[in-house]
Amino acid sequence: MTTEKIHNRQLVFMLFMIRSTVTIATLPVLTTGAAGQDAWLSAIFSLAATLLMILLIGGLAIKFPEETVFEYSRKLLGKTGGTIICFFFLWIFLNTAATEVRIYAELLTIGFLPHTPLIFLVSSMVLLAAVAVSLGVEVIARTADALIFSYIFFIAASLLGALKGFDFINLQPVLSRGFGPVFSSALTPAALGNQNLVLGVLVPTLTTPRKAIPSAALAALLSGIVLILSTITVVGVLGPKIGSSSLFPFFLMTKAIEISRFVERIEALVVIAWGLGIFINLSVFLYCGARGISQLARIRDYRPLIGPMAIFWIILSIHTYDDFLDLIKFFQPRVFFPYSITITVLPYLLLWAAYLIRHAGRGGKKYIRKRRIKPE
Amino acid sequence: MLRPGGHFLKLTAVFCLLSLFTTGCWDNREPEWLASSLLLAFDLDEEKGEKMYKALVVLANPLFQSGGESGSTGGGGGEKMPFWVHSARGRTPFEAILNLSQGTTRQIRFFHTQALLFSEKLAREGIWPVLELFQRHRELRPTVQTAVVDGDLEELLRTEFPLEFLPSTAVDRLLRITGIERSIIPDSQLLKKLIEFTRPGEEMILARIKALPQKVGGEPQGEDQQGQQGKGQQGKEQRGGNQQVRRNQQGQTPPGPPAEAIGAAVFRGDKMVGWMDGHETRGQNWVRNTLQRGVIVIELPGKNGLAAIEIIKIWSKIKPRINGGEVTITVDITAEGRLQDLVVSPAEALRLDKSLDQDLEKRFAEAIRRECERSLTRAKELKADIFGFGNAIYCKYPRLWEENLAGRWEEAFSRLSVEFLVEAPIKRSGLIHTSPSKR
Repeated sequence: MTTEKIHNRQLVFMLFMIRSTVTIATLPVLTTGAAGQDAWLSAIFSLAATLLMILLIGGLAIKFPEETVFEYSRKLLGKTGGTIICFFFLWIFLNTAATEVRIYAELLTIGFLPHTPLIFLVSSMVLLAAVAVSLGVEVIARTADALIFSYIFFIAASLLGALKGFDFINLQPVLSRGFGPVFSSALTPAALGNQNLVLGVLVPTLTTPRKAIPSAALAALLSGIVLILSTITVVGVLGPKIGSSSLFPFFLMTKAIEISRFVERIEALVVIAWGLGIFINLSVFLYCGARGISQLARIRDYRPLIGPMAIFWIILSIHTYDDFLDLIKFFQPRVFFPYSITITVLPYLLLWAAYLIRHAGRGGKKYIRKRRIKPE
Repeated sequence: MLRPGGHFLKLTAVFCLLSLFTTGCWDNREPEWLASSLLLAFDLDEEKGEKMYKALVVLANPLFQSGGESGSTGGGGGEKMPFWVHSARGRTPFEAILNLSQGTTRQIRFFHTQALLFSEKLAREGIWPVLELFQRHRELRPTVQTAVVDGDLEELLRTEFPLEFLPSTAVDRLLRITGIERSIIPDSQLLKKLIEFTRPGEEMILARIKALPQKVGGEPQGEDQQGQQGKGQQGKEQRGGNQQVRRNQQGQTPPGPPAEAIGAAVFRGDKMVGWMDGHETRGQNWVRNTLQRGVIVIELPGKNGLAAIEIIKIWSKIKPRINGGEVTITVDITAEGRLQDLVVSPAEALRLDKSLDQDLEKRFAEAIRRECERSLTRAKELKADIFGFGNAIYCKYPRLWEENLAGRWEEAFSRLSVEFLVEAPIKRSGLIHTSPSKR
């Protein structure tokens, strides 16, 4: 059905930007749990959890290298069950991206443009993404290609600039309260691994779908390194108390950077990088959502859906949360973790169960081999 | 709708044309309507028994032109002062800084604030509300230099600093330079103070700026020494009006320094509990490894004379240890010195040999140790652990800290036994190894 193809490298870049943007946005390992100075350990745990999530999502995706999750879930669970699960996934695409853009808009309102209406900020970001999506997934991927270097440069510059104010004492004591707080902080970031759901839609567009898992794992690893380094730097510069009580720790850290008397105020770099990340994030999620709806509704082209979806997204992003306190509450581990597990992991476990039952029962191994060889 | 091709290009063209009508951002403000705050200072005031924060701001005057003021140029600019000090009161710090605008003709922007000062009165009442504002406010940033003013805050801001146009630059540079050159003030970056405040087992210590009373009416001084710049300045001062009470009149001695950065204000929680002098503050810098440069003068062994040793490098570490259930602290200090002065009469010209060097090293180390001891004694007097000994214990023995010490640290600190182990080699002696003798 689709003729658009993206390279696996582009998938790595896209996933990397999507995942790292969360880090430079709210740094959930520090702000959601009680880990404090041990947040970097939580970051390692959440990286492991993300890799598991990739195995879960990508593992199924490469069994069906030519179909999106919206197609094979209905194949595996039957029409009704499959459709219900697909709605879960659509909701995640919708909600995650709406939340991310809302957080970015909140930062701009709090930090830079206090009087600009939220709807203006949100809609300008979403409309930009809508343009990209209407041009196709190849264009999004190439945009990621083009943006990745400035993105990495901005983050690296912020991290390096912060080294001057780094104090190792802020990271001590290690594990003073045991692993409990560390786990509490790892829950939300681990649950945010549900962003890898885009694999379910993107794998069929890859040039080599069977290498999807290594690509996604590479992206997770790279963004995991960014996460760990950022956590260490933020805690080392701001200390665990100030870091965890701030809304945007990474941003606050860059605000406190003073490379020399004349080189300061480099927080602009972070905001730019964050904006680039949000753009890729929104485009990919909007693309996945539109693809999903078009396949569920059996519409040949997803493009006519983009306009209405963008509008819907803008409204959702503004009306889901009354204020930033709602956002904080939403990302608390006891809210976000069960929420995300219920609508990501459980459906996928169901899909896996159905897959194993169907294909184990009917000589599934042969089926798998056949499917695997085909793309080559 | 958004397909590439004709429509897309047309839409883009329309948006580009539309953008011509939206000059600037949502809230565009002309620079003519703005004034930049360069320094914020907070004081405490009472009104009908209610505590009021008094915010003082040093505003850069955009109408000021440097250089073109000696009367002949005319024009509005030359008449103006380079800065203006304004104050307002409010029940919270933010209300106070917002109330500044009722007497200001321009909107005050805080992006360029370089320094934050506190009056002693406010410091003794608690400064956390102000520190919190600096984290919360989008225009303020935690990189500013901060200090507590010993003396009249408002007068300090209104006085002329001989080498600077603006008191904000003066305070900023005074703190930085004194910190680098003498280390008699603690690290004065606001972020460091915030972290000190949030760490368990550590207390804040802010730099102290002593406002010096200035002599009015001294000896007249030659113009050539004043220089062209000075003349212009003084002309301006007179025109500046009676607000500048302490300004020297034309033809009088240029004033001494209006302020000195020396010593520190010691806090317990967010309330100041006392001052420390320069030596005690440097002792604190030794322990916390924040010392940058300084000089120690020691008596020569066996001779009537003095040697000045410049501190070049320093490294120190706080090591907590448990000795029979009791926590003790060892502070390892390694300092490298450089001999810069030998003050002896030329008759007994001194040969600098290995044994003398070792003697000097011993005395150098002893001087450092004494300074640290002195600082510790003062801190114990004030019951404020400004060294972060408690934090070091918390980092090494978190369990012990939580269960035993956290609740009673103030009292435990005053009985804490601390040992200073100082190693202080003197490796270089400037460009001559020994005083050249007459014979």
